[in-house]
Amino acid sequence: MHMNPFLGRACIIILLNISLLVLPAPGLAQKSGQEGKEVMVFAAMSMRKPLSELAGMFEKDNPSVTIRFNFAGSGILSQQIISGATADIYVSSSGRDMALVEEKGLIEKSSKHVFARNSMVLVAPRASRVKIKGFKDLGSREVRRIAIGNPKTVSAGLYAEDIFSHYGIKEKIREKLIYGEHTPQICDYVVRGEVDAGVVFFSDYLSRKGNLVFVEKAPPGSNRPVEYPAALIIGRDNTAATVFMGFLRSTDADRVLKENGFMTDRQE
Amino acid sequence: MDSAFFPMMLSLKVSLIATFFVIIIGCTCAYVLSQKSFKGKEIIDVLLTMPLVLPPTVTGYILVVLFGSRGMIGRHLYDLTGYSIMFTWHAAVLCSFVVSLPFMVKTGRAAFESVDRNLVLASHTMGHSELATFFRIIVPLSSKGILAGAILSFARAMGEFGATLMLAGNIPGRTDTMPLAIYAHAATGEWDKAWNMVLLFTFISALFIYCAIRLTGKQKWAWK
Repeated sequence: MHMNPFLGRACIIILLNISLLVLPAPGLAQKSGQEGKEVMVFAAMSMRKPLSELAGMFEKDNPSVTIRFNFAGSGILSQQIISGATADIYVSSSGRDMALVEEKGLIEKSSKHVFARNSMVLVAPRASRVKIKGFKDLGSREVRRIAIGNPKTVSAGLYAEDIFSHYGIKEKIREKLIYGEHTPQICDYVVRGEVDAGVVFFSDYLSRKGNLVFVEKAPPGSNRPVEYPAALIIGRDNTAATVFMGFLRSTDADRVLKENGFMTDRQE
Repeated sequence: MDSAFFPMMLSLKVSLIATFFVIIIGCTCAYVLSQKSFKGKEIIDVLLTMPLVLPPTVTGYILVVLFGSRGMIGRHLYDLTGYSIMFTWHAAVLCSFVVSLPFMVKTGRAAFESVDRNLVLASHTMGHSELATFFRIIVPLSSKGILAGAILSFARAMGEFGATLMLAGNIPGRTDTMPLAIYAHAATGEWDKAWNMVLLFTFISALFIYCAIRLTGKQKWAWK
């Protein structure tokens, strides 16, 4: 059988792609020199806004440093770091995922600290037919779909399950749950009215305030504390990363975090 | 292997149903494109081919805009019946259907075009209606091509991931087809579970491609 034209074309496409991968990327090669320093931050998706803002401020003060981010669910990031991804700093939205990385001996223990806190809220779409007054109502028949983070990979999902257990509705609503990959996606499901309610961070609600209805804040003690630990990854020896870690605890960082709906331990 | 069972059955169910509709609608489109000439024919051809080249996220985005509960079409469906396709396995069928349709249309069209025009004209002359000609002359003469198109469509439907993730979500026990389950396992570091499914999936796909190659035999492929 002669080679069919599709296979021939596919081969050419594959070869072109390989050549793209093999060719050196000029931008990256230059950056690793003595001039510019790069800091690779693996951070929880819910930190996207404040961290991007903080990175901008930091880069302004330290023009030779470039902060790069990989935003995803904390659980996905921890798996990536455990699988050997090149990261300088890990910012998790739960102690659980930080502990996973710590157990493998991958973080500088002395650098680990909680630099921000958050809380969980129940949100609903605007102009929804379903009336929800609080977490308790989620068990009612009217509520058909509830979006939470995938508890395996998204900290917000873990906290949401805590709340459901607290109210004793965990099993009852199991069938209604829609798992999101991160909280902005959950917000999006709610905004578009694809679900009747969603459990997200307070900071997420704040960033999309106009498009969502605030239903209830999870009462204290209904879920484990929502903490954001940050830590340096071991063996990276990146001074710029250490400096950026310090910056996360500065008064400037504090202000930005608070503006974005996070809490910090700093007293005014 | 237990955790692989549901995703595998769901993948097969979704792909079979999607392929069923792909054959009916794909062959109809292929027939019209191959036998008729009308204004805007090329535009139809482009539209039907688009999912082949668009990133699945774009296809997914468009489908969400159309079929979401507040989407252009989905809204009316939701208001009338309270039904929304989002986060159901029906959404997986819809996505698989849209992305695998081009394979059927392309392959089917080439097969229909290769049928000797004189035979079609003779059939008309002898008093057969267009429909009868289609089923008695055109389909039997291009059966290999149709079957190859159907198998390719099925294989593509099995592999659908991106649009499905956007429209059906990744809900364990409900919408996690094999590609989605593999992604979820890999994301949570359960490589051993992913591995079983990867092997199974690779085997099934290879089998289908082999069938498609055997069926087409010396007949030329539909890629123009």
